[in-house]
Amino acid sequence: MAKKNKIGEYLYCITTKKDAPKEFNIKGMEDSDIRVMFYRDLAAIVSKAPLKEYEPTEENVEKHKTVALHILKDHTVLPVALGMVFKKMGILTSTMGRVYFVLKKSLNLIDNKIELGVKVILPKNFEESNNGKSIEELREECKTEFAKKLDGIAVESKEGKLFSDRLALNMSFLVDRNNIDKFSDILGKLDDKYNDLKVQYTGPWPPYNFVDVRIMSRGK
Amino acid sequence: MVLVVDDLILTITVRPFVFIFKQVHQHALREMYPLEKIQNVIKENRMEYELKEISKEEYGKGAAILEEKLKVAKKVREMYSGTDVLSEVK
Repeated sequence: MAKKNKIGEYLYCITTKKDAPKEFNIKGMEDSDIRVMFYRDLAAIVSKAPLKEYEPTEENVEKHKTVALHILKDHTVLPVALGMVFKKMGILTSTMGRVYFVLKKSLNLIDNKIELGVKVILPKNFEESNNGKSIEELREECKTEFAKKLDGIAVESKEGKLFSDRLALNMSFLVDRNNIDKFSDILGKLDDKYNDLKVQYTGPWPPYNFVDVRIMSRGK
Repeated sequence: MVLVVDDLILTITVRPFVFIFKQVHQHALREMYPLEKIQNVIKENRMEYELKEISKEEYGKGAAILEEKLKVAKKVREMYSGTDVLSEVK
């Protein structure tokens, strides 16, 4: 007989009590119902899920992300790493108590801000640009140009890994919600300038690259 | 006395080889099961789908194969990461 995993509390993200949705019309991991657990003025978004290791598969990432995005539409979200599942609600509550001030500080830092992703991608079989620049020269130019123009609008930026040979740039920006349009305008102009490259603009995302919450508990 | 000399010789001669063997073994594992490389290809596959360079079907097929490859690579690397090669050689 197959071994059945015990059920725990899977944590998706954290927000403030006032921003927590009253109800969710989406499902969580393994089709579970999403609930809100309050701790002082914070709210942990959780659902019942098996106590097991959650691999970063397409399906798991999608479920985890969807819940955070649901709240991000209108409110600030403190993202949490994929796969944090607590044995009991009591363990999650006491853990939140221990890291309460860190969570509050992180929420203040990202208040009213979202993450936007920008990738500059070379066409397939690219050897050199229209104006004869090599891949390395283009990478250097993009890094300077995009960072210089977008850093002025963003609160913070981070360079991501160039996981493909086709990537000339991979950056994440922490942007105030009020500046999203300005950011998009500048990016549009950069897209026009580098019209032989593909500029991919994604988001808004919870600021995964700017706060890294991994709550560990002894009871886990 | 002879025994001591024998032990000493064994220690001197086998240890460097064991060290080299350990390194070669770890290197071979990294080469055969390159976790990071597979993860990069998974992201590249996703990127190509988002850019509409490949169809949803092509993307799904590729993703399933790559996820399986990643699972196997993780398992093998996990299995051998704590292996004491010295005890295997003995």
